[in-house]
Amino acid sequence: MTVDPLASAQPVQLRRGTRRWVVELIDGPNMRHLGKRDPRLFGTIQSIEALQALVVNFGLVLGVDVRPFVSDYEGELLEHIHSTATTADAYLIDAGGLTTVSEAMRHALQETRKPVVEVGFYNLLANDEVSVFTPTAIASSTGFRQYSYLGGLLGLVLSLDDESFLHPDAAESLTARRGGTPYTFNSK
Amino acid sequence: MIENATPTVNTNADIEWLRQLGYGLRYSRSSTRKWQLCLLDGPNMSNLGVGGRDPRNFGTISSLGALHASMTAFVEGIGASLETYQSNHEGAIVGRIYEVAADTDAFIFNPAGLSKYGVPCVQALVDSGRPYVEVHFANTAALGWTGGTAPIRHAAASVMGLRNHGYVAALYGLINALDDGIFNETVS
Repeated sequence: MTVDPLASAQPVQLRRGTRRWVVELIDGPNMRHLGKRDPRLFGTIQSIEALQALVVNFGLVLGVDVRPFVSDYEGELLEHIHSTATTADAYLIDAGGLTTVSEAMRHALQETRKPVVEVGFYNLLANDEVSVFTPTAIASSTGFRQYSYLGGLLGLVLSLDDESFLHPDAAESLTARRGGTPYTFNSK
Repeated sequence: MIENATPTVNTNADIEWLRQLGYGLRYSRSSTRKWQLCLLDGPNMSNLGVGGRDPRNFGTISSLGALHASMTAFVEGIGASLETYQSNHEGAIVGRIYEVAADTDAFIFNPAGLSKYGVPCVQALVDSGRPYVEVHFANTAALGWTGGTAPIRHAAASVMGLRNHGYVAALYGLINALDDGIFNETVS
């Protein structure tokens, strides 16, 4: 049984930051049908509404606005990203059936110039799926089923609060990555 | 030449804040089990912060000791137990895995310098029969390695790209996943 342990939680100040970040939560194709999907990968969570409520409520606990959106249509996902680009502080995305293929959605996300955290119910590479999103996302959190979303949101919020990392108003510095592009040893 | 950045997470107050964050999130768990977790950091991680690891990758955390103390505090706050270990010697990490496996419910493993070729550690983790979460400060997918890192195929889950905050994300996801029993059916 999947319970929502956070449903009755009251907002409390757990963070050092006080900004009420706006996090767009986007689920791609097939995620709308959670509850009818393969339980070996997706577990026992019964519906997309249950998943969205879990994440939104966890956002309330942390003091941030999580705005959920789900669609089976790639074009709708693109238009949603275009229309939220200026209001969002960051994106939490599970591209669902588009994970391995959607260059269009990846481009739309990159052009928001906001940090993107990719989340997923299962470990993609262990299932021979190579995400096109991960290399240009700031981060990923996968393999904890629905808790990937919660861990990803927690890490994202702490990173947005961090003025040496993702905070959008932080001064330019060696360590700041407010545009959300990842840095690696291969970067120039 | 790589410039140094000003370290930020280095005081007892920072560590106590993470304990309070863990404590505040304790009630969001679906169980009160005191999981025994083991955090393993690989080669070069002893150079975090003042040791000179590239701040563009690793941010402003002041030292490995600060990282381990703050994660221990977070885990204690949330009601579990964490043992931490780092070595620059692959064989020492292999030995440590076998030594602690019987008393460990799950591992959190940052392979660091062993990310590409650390097969002995992966075999030890698989032998342990315990699930492990792969964590990285940086987004290793941005390196463009075919098939990803050495540990990823056998990892239960992974979090990367959120620097030290990713460890909090991984620990939160892991503890919730253990509470929910989701790895019982997937561990190899």
